[in-house]
Amino acid sequence: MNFIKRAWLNVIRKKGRTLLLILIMSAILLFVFAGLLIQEAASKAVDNAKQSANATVTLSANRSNAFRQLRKHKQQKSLTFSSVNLKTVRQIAKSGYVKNYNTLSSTNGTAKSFKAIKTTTTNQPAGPIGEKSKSSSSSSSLSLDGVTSTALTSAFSEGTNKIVSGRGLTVNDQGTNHTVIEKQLAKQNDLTVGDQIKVKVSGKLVKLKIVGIYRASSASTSQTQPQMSDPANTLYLSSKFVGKLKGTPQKVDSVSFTMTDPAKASSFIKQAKKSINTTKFSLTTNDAVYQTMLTPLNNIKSFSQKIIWLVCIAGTAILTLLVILMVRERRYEAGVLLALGEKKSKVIWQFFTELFLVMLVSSVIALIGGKYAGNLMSKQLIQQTTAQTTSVSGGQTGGMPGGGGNSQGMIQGNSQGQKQPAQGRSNASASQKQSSTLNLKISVKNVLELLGFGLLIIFIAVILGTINILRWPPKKILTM
Amino acid sequence: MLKVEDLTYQYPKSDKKLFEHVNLEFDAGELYAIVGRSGAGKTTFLSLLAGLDVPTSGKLKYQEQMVTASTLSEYRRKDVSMVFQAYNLFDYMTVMENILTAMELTGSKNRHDRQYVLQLLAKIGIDRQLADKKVVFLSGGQQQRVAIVRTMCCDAQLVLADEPTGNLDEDNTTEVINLFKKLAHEENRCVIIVTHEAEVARNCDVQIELHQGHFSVQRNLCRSSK
Repeated sequence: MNFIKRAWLNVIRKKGRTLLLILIMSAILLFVFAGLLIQEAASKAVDNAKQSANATVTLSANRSNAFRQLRKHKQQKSLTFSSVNLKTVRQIAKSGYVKNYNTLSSTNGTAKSFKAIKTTTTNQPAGPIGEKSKSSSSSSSLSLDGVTSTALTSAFSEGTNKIVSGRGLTVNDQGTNHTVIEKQLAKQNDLTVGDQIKVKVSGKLVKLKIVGIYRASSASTSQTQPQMSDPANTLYLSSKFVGKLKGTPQKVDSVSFTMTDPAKASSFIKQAKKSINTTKFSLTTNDAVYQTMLTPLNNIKSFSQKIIWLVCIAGTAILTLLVILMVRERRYEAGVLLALGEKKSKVIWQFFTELFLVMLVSSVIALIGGKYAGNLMSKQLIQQTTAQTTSVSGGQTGGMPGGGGNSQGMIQGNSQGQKQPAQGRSNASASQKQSSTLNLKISVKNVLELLGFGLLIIFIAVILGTINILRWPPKKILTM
Repeated sequence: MLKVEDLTYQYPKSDKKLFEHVNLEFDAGELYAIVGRSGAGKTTFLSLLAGLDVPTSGKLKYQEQMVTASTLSEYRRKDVSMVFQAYNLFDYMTVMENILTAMELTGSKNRHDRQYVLQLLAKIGIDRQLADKKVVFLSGGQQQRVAIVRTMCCDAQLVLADEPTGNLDEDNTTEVINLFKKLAHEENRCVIIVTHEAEVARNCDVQIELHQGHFSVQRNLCRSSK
């Protein structure tokens, strides 16, 4: 154990050199530790994102096939979309990949016992000054959206729509005439929860009972699509009830399956395709939120990994050079020790112990400063990566008006009506909010990893630094 | 005690052999002086005896046992003790720590006995106060004396010294030579000194002159009755 005593004396007595080594080692370990913290936080954030981001897979009619059929049978005047059988839905939903599902069915109707909100739009196409061409249109039709549960629809889960009175629709409301209406519509007609309203669907008069009132925060899309009804004219009903109104009680327009793990969406599609006729139906993944969230986090994770390796390599190089200089300066000491009969391995262990003692002090400094440095670095990284990701996803949203990657956005028009809620932008902003900070926490694992990296660095440095000196016989070392 | 058989040495990357087919024998209880001109190879020869370097060819036998590459480290630790020309003390240690470290390393029987070390130090003019000072605060002569005591404190039977009196004044030189004599004659150790001082050489039992690679051994008649 003599080498430990010698190492201790050397560290204690040569204060200047020890201080310099502590400073250099602290700087190296500080960056290693910050990198480790960021990496772990990014990994956890990715896992959390997987848990929180609701990637969905939508089962709906195969539009390409419908268009193909339309072109093939020229006598056919409109597109015909196949409805999804509820039996098939229940069979697919048994999959372990599915957290829950939302059946969606929609139709149009007209208000009977109340007045729908009328929208009038005026278009003024650009032209020479003085030439004003005006066109206007108005719509008062109601959009009847059948769902399994309002909470499962993206409009409600992402906060575009909010229940302000009563309650939303749940699975227990399936098949009932319960409805949730918009606040403006309720206000205009003095309607409250518990009231009954009448609507006309396909020539039939239907009574509906209001169980909840929601507030839609999205603006009317009438500016871009004048023929569209105002969002306030959307009534939520159970999908089974809408199916009854359409004369197909066991069928729905589409189904949105929420994944337990967004990363497994493609596996689920593979599995689900076995239960459907892929010519008539298609399965599409809507994991834009998950991907938007994941991209910056994965970037940070990979960047922090690079930081760790770069710092380790640079740190080892710097430390090796220092150790080489230190050993050269102390070659007489090594030579005398060998001349006194000390083993080469023990001389190496002495240098290693000296650096280990330095590393212990540096590790404490790195532990104190690493979290602070890690926070600064991660903030900077997130700012950069989210800015990049937002600009990319923003561009994508702009290219798909009304779509933008959520389950309900994918519901397209059928023969009876159209619906295109624009919710793509809210997804991007939601993901931005969720990934604006990384929660850096120091764990025992981090500390052990830091010590492991530190040991690796000093081990390589000592071996590389001493090998050139200690391979010679003592006389050569003493006369170098 | 120590035998050199057919020993040849040649510096690496050199065509010229420094010495060739050397056969010498060193006995316990004798004080040897190796003399010769500068560059003759005295220190190199001493290094070969100390096991600090390996000969180009030939054998080194200690107590009739061959000293090989695998036993060199143990030979240096247990059997040889050396005083270097440049002292080679550990600059971050005190006088006492330097000596105790060497004693501990070589497994000296007195390795925990500070009093024993202090007594030896006192004999060469290093007092207790100086013993607890870092060696860097000592003069060259004092450091040389500490290096000698470090060697003496170890139990090795073979004591080698390279110019041990090079930095000492006349009084201290006499004192150091007397210490070496005591080691040889009273403790029955084999002491080999490399020196260029004729006076030091004359005080030794045997003088070995190295000249152009040849060794000539001469016993000092006045020193023959130990």
